[in-house]
Amino acid sequence: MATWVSGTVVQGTDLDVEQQFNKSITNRGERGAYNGVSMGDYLGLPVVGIDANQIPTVCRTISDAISALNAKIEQIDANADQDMAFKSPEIQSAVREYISTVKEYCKALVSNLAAFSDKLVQVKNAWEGSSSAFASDSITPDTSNLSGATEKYQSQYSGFGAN
Amino acid sequence: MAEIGISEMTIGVSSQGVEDYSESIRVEVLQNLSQTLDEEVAKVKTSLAQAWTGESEQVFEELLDKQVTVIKEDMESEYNDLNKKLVNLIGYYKNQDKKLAETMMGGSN
Repeated sequence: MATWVSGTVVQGTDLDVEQQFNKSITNRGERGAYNGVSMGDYLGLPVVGIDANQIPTVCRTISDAISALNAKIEQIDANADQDMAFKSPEIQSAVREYISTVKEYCKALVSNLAAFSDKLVQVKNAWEGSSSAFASDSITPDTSNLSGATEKYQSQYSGFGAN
Repeated sequence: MAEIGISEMTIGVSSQGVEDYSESIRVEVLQNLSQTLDEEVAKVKTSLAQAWTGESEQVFEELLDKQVTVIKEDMESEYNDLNKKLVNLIGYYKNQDKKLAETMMGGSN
């Protein structure tokens, strides 16, 4: 627990931090557009963005997934146990053909996953495109705004680390 | 008591055999394929976590999960259709047998 040493309590100070800040802001000249949004409005996920270098890896993983699923579909054996179920060349052939159609349908379903790979490429392109747009829309420096800035604050307590 | 089984027949059906056949397809289509689908999508999500984060990534994963659900549901529907056809097949053979019996009964009268 902290112990207050008698005689060290600060009674007051001439340094009005708020006034210093306001002075800086007033003297700076025209401010950037304020849209009424605070940092707090963007809480939630602490990090947002992509590693564009990793996107091809994810696309390959999706492609590998489709291949693995297609291989699994191919393993569906229409002939397995057929002889113990029904005897008739026509019936067996019809069932085999039907299951072959089901397998193709399953492959078509699985191929829908490829759309997610395409979407990732679009996402990557969107991030890369927006990055430069954000920079010019939001952060492009207007040096004329800085010309009216106040003088640099000089610490009254040199020797305590502040400049 | 009949001593002929489906393996000796040239034309016929075995209800138990069809059931076993249907079960083997069910395991392959619904169980193994579904399990592989889950495993592969988990790999995609692991890879995705290294590449992208944000609300849009969460939506992407939700859409991926929905697509996986659609694939599984469609596969289940396909299997159910196949199973119905196999059950109908048993019905055809049994009706054939019954009609033969009726024909013979009619012929004996």
